[in-house]
Amino acid sequence: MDIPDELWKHLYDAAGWLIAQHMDFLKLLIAKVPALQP
Amino acid sequence: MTTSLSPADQRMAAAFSNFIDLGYVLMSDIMELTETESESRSQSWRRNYIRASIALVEGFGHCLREICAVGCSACSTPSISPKEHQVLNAENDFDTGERIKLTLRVAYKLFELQPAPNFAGREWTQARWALRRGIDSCTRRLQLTWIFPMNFGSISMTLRAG
Repeated sequence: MDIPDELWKHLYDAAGWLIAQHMDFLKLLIAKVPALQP
Repeated sequence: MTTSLSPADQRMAAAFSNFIDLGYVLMSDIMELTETESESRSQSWRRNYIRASIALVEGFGHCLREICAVGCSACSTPSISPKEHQVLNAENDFDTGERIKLTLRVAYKLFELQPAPNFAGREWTQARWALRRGIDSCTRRLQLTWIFPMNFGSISMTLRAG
């Protein structure tokens, strides 16, 4: 069940991209909805 | 001063509250792992990072679907496709990748946000491949079944021998 270096690079990049899409959504939503702003 | 919310507004407020609470918990897990990134050659660190990433994306997606389901029932959103409607009501009909894509598309449409994620690019193709490969690598021996209670303050997880 080891994750070799070559596979790890792809998984890490993909996870980063997926997380970034959700964070981008959150940033846009907060910018648009004043009630969500701190 | 007291403000009485309509039932739809109460549902939306609860869905947003879950979204924020769960997002905070799941992002904390990622941030904590990122602080020890120097250990990323360790196999357990790698598996934990993949698990935490998948939990974040799936958890966010689940909460977004709740928000969108309330939003779509409260107002007409004609640009939402039948498949996008379906993912809000029957998320288990779709695999992880399809769920993520359809949910983000609905959420961007519902809140009229731009620019929407690019699902036509190389990054998405790689992400779909990695989702299949990563989930398989990290959960081969244990099938993870997430149970999302109404209150996301605490997340319960059932482990079932695969």
